[in-house]
Amino acid sequence: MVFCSFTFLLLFMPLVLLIHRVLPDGWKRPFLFAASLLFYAWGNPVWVLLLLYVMVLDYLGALLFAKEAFRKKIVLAVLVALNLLPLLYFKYSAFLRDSVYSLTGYYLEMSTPMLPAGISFFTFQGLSYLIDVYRGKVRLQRSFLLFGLYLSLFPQLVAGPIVRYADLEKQLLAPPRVTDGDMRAGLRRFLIGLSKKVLLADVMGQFWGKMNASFPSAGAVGAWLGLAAFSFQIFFDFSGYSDMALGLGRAMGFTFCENFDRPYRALSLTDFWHRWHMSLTGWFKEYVYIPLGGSHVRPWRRDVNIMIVWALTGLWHGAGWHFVLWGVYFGVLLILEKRFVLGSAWQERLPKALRQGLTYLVVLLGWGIFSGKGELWGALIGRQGLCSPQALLDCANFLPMLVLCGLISFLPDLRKTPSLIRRLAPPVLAVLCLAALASQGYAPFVYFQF
Amino acid sequence: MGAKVNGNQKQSRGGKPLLPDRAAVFGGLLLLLALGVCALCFRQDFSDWERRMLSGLPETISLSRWTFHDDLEDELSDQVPGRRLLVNLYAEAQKLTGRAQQLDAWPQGDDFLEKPVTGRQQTALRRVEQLKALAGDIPCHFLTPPTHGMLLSGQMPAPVRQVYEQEEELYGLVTEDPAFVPLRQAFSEARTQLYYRTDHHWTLEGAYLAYRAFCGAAGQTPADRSRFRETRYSPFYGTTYSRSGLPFARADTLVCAEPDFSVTLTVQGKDLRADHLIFPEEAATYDGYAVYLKGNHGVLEILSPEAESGETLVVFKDSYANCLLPFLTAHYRRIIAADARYMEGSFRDVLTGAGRVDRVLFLYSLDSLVNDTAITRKLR
Repeated sequence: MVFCSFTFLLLFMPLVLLIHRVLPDGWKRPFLFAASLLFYAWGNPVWVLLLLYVMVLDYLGALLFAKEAFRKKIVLAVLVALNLLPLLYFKYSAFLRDSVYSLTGYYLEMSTPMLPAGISFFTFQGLSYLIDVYRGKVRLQRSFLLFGLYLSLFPQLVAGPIVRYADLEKQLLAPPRVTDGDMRAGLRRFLIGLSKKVLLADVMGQFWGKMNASFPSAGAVGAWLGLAAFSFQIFFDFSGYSDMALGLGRAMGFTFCENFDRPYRALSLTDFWHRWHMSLTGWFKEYVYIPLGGSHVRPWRRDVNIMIVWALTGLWHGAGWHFVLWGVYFGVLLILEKRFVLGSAWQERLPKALRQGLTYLVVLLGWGIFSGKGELWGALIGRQGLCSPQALLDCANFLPMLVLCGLISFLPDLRKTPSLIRRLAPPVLAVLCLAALASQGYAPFVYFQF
Repeated sequence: MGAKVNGNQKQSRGGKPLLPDRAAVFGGLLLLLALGVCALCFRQDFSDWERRMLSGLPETISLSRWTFHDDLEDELSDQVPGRRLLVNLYAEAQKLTGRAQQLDAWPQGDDFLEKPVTGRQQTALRRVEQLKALAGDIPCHFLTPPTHGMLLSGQMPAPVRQVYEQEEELYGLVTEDPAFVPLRQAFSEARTQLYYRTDHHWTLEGAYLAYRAFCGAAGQTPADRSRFRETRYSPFYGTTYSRSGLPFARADTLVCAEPDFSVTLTVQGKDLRADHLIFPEEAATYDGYAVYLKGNHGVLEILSPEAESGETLVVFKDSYANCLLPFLTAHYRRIIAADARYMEGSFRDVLTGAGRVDRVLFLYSLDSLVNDTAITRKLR
């Protein structure tokens, strides 16, 4: 089920929140577990078996650690491999097949599997639990219901944030009482996320789609503005989802980790990645970078570690070489930034706005790689001229919304708006979101494909 | 504890909320649920203002071919209470934020325009050659009017005008062939309203202008307007207005002309036979334009015993012809009109079945001529 679908907004969400609110405390968690499984099964009932597989595997696997005093490392390795197998098959098998074919000419006959929603997210959550139990950082969860709820909790099931078990353990064991104020604050956050998605991201997606469809005639103007629109689409889409997840969580008494912190205001790439998809970068840092030695190794080794992490980050985002290239692009730039830029006197002398603009430009080009559109690069340098009449009209049409997205992304905190606007905004935004959805339906979240 | 702190922060930043927490939360959730339940319980089959069938739930649900989630979503989206208001609101918001040309029909002053026609010029030229080959030795003419957007492009801002200039270029190339009756200049110079504001069709004035030009090309003298009875139907809101989604429009008045002499209309394959070409009862339906000939049909025949000649005219057409056919009854005793979108068989079958044919007219809008694949199918 998708948060911005009418099925969710008009049936599932109000029913689940109202029932959850009035149920006795003891019933809340079983109810949420059942609701979460229904939420996941809605898109394709068969996929719920995959979720249950990961759930049972990690639950039993962690119990093994308690029993098995020796060979824990081997058990962990086997469990990690068993966790990653479905991910490898569903997400990467076609990519491997095509890569082998282009390298060797050998083509393995197999159908391309459909990618189950959220597989990368719940697999990583399951792994974090297993590894933390192995390390003794969290206590074993003996209740299948509570562990299942951790893995399947519907607000963050299909597109994160990637919540670590350690962060949710206390909340699962003793769910905090939900007040009307919590519900209201949660629903307000949900509405902000929905507005980001429906009123901003989808509009930017339409513009980017139009420019994409008209390459190469979109020309340089269309390519640059289109790419900027893509950068806003992906930001508002994903941060909107995170807002919705956090809001729903709060409305049901859960606090998840924040996933975004105004990333396009970052002053450096390192800063950007401390603000963008924080739960994923945190995951890779905790479970890949630090085990590899982190920063406490020789500089060349640290650089290798960074490259490994970023190649994996790219690959996590999608099964394609352009995703790997995107990861490597950031890996290389982050290494260079750490060595030559951060802390240097000349960097400190640069005006903040310039540093912010340069960082955004580098990130923007990264989104160009991420998009996987080869024709984009020629268009960006004006190889196909400035702009076709149709592309110019589309640019003129979308420019006001593009500017609005830029203002929201780059300007300081908009939460300091006058109180009357803040009070009137929720009903206005709710009606506008319903209007947009009734008018043109919803577009799937970009991060669902990851 | 944490919730309380957050609640206090919220109050200090945002001032006193409009509603107490409980009323806002429960009221909001119950309202959403009520919308969902109403969408499921009080459903309509057809949307008059959108002119389309609305979605419904499937009769059977299959686990092996799971589409129920999409079906339910379509149902809720189509049946949500206040849908028209919501669509109107969003279209207005799009227009206000500069995206008027992202609507399905483009507002320009009081007019609602079709998007500029785009397409492959070569395809259109090939289609023209195929149509001419179909007519063979029979004298044939093409009537393709310049679009409403082309006529108004001078009043548009530069980015919109440039797109219509491309359409104009395509129009010029496609209608270069001498078989096309020249209309561009006459339409530019006309001082009357040639197109409806809220519909893509031409008005009676536009059709009459094209009819006069056709008569000139065919060596005939145009019949005087006094030979036709005119009737008016108001208000008329056409398809471009409804496709735009915008709430407000200046209504049109549908003006129809009917021969003041006897004619007989017969529609092949339908139980429709009438001694008139205008059907006033259709004016009150969702498709007011169906007052002409009771809408679009595959193949129809109009007999006009009082016509000035005993000739037969075959018209291959789209809906633009519906308004013009009544004028032609003054000249041809028998008119056979075929619409590729609704007819069985091929164009060749129509020509063969018509017996002796004295003249052929291809009457298509630019969009049909360039992009209607039904024409290509019927040419096979």
